[in-house]
Amino acid sequence: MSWVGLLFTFSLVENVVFARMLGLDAETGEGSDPRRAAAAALACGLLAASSSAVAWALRERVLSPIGAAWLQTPAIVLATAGLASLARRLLARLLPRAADPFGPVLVPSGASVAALGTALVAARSGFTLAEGVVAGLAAGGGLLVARSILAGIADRLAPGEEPSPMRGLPRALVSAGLAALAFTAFDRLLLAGLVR
Amino acid sequence: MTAPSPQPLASARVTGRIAGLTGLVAATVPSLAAAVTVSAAIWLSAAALLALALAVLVAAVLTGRRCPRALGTLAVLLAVAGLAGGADLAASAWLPALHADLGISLPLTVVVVSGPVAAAVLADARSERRGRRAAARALAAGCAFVAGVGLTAAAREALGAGTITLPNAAAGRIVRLPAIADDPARGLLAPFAALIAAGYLAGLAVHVVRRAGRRREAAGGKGEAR
Repeated sequence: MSWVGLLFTFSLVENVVFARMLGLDAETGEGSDPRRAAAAALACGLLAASSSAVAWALRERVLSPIGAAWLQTPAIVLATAGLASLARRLLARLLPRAADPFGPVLVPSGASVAALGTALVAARSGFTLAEGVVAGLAAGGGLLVARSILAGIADRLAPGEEPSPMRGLPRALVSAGLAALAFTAFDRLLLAGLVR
Repeated sequence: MTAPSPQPLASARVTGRIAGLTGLVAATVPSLAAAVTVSAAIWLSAAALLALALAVLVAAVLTGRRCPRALGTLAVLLAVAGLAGGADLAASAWLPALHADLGISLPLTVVVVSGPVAAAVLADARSERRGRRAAARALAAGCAFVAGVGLTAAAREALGAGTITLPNAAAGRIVRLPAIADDPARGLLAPFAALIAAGYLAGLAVHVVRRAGRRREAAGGKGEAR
């Protein structure tokens, strides 16, 4: 797959939220702050890219040479959790608000789950180091697009317009479903026509 | 300026339950992407239940022995990562078609569903009936996952494909639904249908929790009046 194809696939066609259903957490339904959306997307992109890179290095340089490539999945899970925890600890000291999108180790945030999913997809697809990093960054871009759309929908809904049990995550899920219906327009055939 | 009145205990409990429910729904959503057949939902549920049991057992044992929380977190993470790898390997060896259908959802389900429940068990500082509370947490999360994923998958497969695929050792046994199979609504198999269904199911669950809380509050008020 070409670089442009990789970018389009992971940001639009196989969008982390609208196609893979990752990246949604309780915080998604809380508000329409574009800064939070950008922070989550940045966290997801950087975490997915670094997880894919670490997973590639572990697979190619450690596990495959000793004949233990079957340990790839637990290695990716541990690498993603470790990187998220490290980022959270470092950011908690330097920029406390920027640490939120990474979430605690055992309670992964939407951004962390999206990053883990992207790293698993990159490993299963046999991506090279550069392809994995680009796919991770594109997934972050996809999360930014999705969260911005959801924040825009939340912003346009007047208070009390939805029934009270639907406030928060339920409303965000229904909105995401409707947006995902629109995103089916970005199918593989369209991509093939664009990238050829 | 008057100080805000303290929130009634029952309302605080309902708010806490709704927060827990929202977290559980968020953890269930990634599994719905692959749950397009009843068979897939059953295998995902089995993986989730096994992961919940293992993670909660490890967390409860370590909390009981008063291990540091960081050590408990690391032990649960290692157990969950091991189970994610094991489930993935077992599926690829014995159920290759299912492994291909589920894709990354199998390891993701194991990690995402069990983590928050194990974290709650590790954070439980009260010593009395800790084991019972841990088991209740795991059971509630497991039942919610099985019901949410199972119902959504059954509805999507029945209406979207006109079939119900039952799990079998080698391959799924397919039951054809004559009324729908000739002209199914295939769009329901796409992710957008699962997201909308999950949203409405979550809204319904929040409504039920709130209503139960209100009833309990009313019953408590009547008891005090007597």
